[in-house]
Formats: sequence, structure tokens, C-alpha cells
Amino acid sequence: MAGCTTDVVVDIGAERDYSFGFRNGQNLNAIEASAPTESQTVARLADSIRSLPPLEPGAMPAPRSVVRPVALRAPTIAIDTASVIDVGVDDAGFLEIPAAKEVGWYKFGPAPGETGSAVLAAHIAFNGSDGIFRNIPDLRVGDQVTVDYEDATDRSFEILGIVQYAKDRLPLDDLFERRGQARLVMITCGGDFNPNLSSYQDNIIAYAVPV
Amino acid sequence: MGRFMALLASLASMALMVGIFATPASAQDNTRIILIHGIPGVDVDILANGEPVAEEFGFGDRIDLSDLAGETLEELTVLVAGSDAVAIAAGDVLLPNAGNTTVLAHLDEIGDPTLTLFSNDTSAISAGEGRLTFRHAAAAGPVDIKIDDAPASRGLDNAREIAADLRARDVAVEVLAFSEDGGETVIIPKQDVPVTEGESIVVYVVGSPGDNSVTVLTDVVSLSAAEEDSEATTDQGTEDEGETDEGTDDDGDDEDTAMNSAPAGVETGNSPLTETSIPLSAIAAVVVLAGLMTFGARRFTR
Repeated sequence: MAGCTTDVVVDIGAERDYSFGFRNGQNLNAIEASAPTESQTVARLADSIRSLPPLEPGAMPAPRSVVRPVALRAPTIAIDTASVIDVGVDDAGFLEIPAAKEVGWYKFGPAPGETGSAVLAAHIAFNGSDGIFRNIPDLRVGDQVTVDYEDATDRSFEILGIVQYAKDRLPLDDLFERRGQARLVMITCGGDFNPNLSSYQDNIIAYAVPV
Repeated sequence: MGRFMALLASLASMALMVGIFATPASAQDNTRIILIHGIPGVDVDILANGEPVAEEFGFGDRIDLSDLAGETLEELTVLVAGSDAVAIAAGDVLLPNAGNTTVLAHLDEIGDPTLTLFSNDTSAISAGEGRLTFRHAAAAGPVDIKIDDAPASRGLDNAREIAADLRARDVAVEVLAFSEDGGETVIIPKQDVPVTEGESIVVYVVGSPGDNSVTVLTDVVSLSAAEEDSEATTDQGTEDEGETDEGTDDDGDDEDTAMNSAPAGVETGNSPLTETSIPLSAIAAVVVLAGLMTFGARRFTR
């Protein structure tokens, strides 16, 4: 599908240094009483200044409060109830993927239904068994999936489309974007399987929006 | 419809769909200048150009000077609130016309009030990591900083900083100063600081050991005023955080102002499919319904 997707350079294997590699300070400028070349008088200074919430001495930023997804139901693709678990990234910077029959929710992005693109990912096949996302390619536009949350609520999402990308053309920035309309992407693999790499050539993405 | 026309139609529809799921356009210039009062125990009035910039400005208070980027604050003066006592006579101060800057009023090494401009690094943060910055802004000589009991910095001077991107987690932070006889004093007892994924957190060590007022002011670097507003409320992101964007443009400007990064890839399969069913590569890439057209007109907003 050349020409339709954004070219994204996937930075596989970049070094991730988790040691305290502190670097020297940025350029810091102590205020200098410098004569300006041309001073600009600002009319009504106060109009250009906005107030902000104060910092509380000793306090740390409040932790994010999020209602986490815990299960996924997708009856049109034979997912009765699949467990959803929080995942991050591994040491190589790739999305962590749980075991064959579990769905991973990218915990650093939004929960499904929050602002931005929520990501659910699972194997299409893993260690010789079908993955829970085996039938993602069979999703059809208009199908609904339902996410169950840890507070016993649920939300449904409608499939808008299914797209297959070569992995080196996967629009990662878009899929993991945290801003904008609430939306959901479900990711698995597809295309040719490379037995030497034990990896698939493509990713398959199902795009959905809250109903 | 011929196969080619069908493909064209589906490509057009996919462009619409991709539009919804694409990275948002940047609304406007991202120059940021935030002024923070980092001197405990004294409210101040701040004047410039003969006018008030802030009045009864208390310890920890902040104001947003971003709209004055590139302007000169003439005869910038910090007075003890309600008096003529001058705490800082900064003269003419040229505010940066680009970048992300924090202006901090704080005590220098010997305890005199001063003003320092700090430049905030807003470069991309790798997925899974958060940025942590310490700025020494207390009335003390060089300090040592420990993170999780290991030395992270030695001999950091007043008005200097150290920074690193770390795997997101809570880290235990301790700050030590040195007395004239060489003895070590803990000025910030060990406490947790949340290294937050995709965000940049700045810890200012402020105050004076002499009067036991040393503490931390912790700020989150924000890239835009809208972001600042959303952080101000404690309501977490729900769909009604889709605030109207100020001047969203659809001309294809896709400057990305967020610091967080996507993962490097998604590896969701390590063995071949067990069934010899339809080879996936033969499936048409896009199946889109007319229902998508209803979303075509709505670029997403923040």
C-alpha cells in the first residue's frame, strides 16, 4: 500500500542506557543587567501575563489517575473474554507483548476511551499456538468490541477499518499518539512469516472509535 | 466498478481514516517562559517597565510570561511585598524569543536573592522513560545528589543543574550539602520522586539551611498553555478534554510538540500460523464503509 502510510523509521535496537548517565547542565544564564539594543515598551504588561497554579513546597506531581482496562470482548472474532494486562516497553524499546492468550494495553498511553489513541496488542501466533488476536484480520467494519475496566464499567468501540502495513512502514507516532479524539487501535502481526527471524513481515491494525 | 477504481475508492477512504488517527497539527508557536518564586518566607511584588508584573507573589507561585517572549522587561525589580525594600534589582531583562525557559527567583550560594534563567530541554524522550532534572537553587555551596542511594552528581553549584532520562519509576532522592568544616549535611532527606513516562520533571532545591527552610519545588515542563490548563485540573483525561484548539490549521503542518515517543515496534507473533487458511498478505488492505465519511470533516482537536 505504498503512498498511503507515513514513512516511519523504526529505530530498532537503539541503545537504551538506564544507568545514571547524567550529563552536564544546560547553558544557564544568570540574569545580566544588559542594555538592550532596542527596548520594547509593553503596553499593559499585566494583560500579557497569565497566572498558573502554584507549586506546593515539598510536594510531588500527583500521580495519573486512570481506570485501567482489564478485559476485552470481541465476539465476531471468537474472543469471548480475553484478559487485558498493562504493558510497557522492553529493554530494546519495543512494546511488551504478553503471553499467547492475553492482550496487552500500553500503559503509558491512554486507556480506551480517554483522549488519544489507546493501544491493545496481542500475538497472532506464539510458540506454536494461536494467539488471542489470531482472527483480527477477520474483523469487519462495523463490528463492535467491548472493553471491561477495573471499576466494573465497560465501553464499546466500533471498527472503522483494518490496515496491513509492512513493519518498516508502520505509523508508530500516529498509533501511539496521546492527543486528539479518543480512539482505539488493536495491533497484531501478519503477512509473510520469516522463520529465520521468527517474525512476521507486517503488522495488522484494526482502528476503532467509541460508539 | 473495476478493480482499479475500487482500489482508488478504498485508498481515498483510508486517507480519511488515517486522518483521524494521525498526529495532530501544532496550533501555534511553542515558546514558553514561566516565572517561579523560589524563595521561602517572603511574598514579593515584581515590577517592570514601571508596572506590576506580579503582586503578593508567594513562595511556589508561578506566572506565565510566554506572551512576552522576545520582549525586554525594563528595570525588573523584586520588592518585599507592600514595601520599598528591594530584594532583586535585575535591571533590563531580555526574555528569550524561542525555546522553553523557567525564570526562577531564588537564593544564591550565600543567601542573597537572585534571578536565574533555566533552559528546559524539550527534546524527545524515549518510550518508557521520563526526564528528571535537578536545579540547585538553595543557599548552600555545591551539593551532592543521590538517587536510589547511588551518587548521581557531586559538587553541583548553585544555579546549575543535572538532568537525565531514566526508566519511568519512583526514585529515592537525597541531597547533601557540606559545611565549612567539610562535614556532610542532608538538606533534602531521602524522598521519592516520580520519574514519569514521556514527561520532564524539574526538582528545584530551594531555601536556606541556615533557617531550616530547605525544601523542593517540583515542576512539570509543559509545552503549551493548553497542556498547562489540563494539568491544573486533577480530572484525568476523558473525552471532554477535547478542548477547542486555538487555530488548528489543516494545511499539513505537523510539527510535533509532545516529548513522549512511541515504542520502536510491535512484535506480535513468533511462529507461523497453525492453519493453512487465507494467506494474510492476500487480504485487501483496507475495508472501509461509507460510515467513515461522517468523520471526514472532523480533524481532531486536542
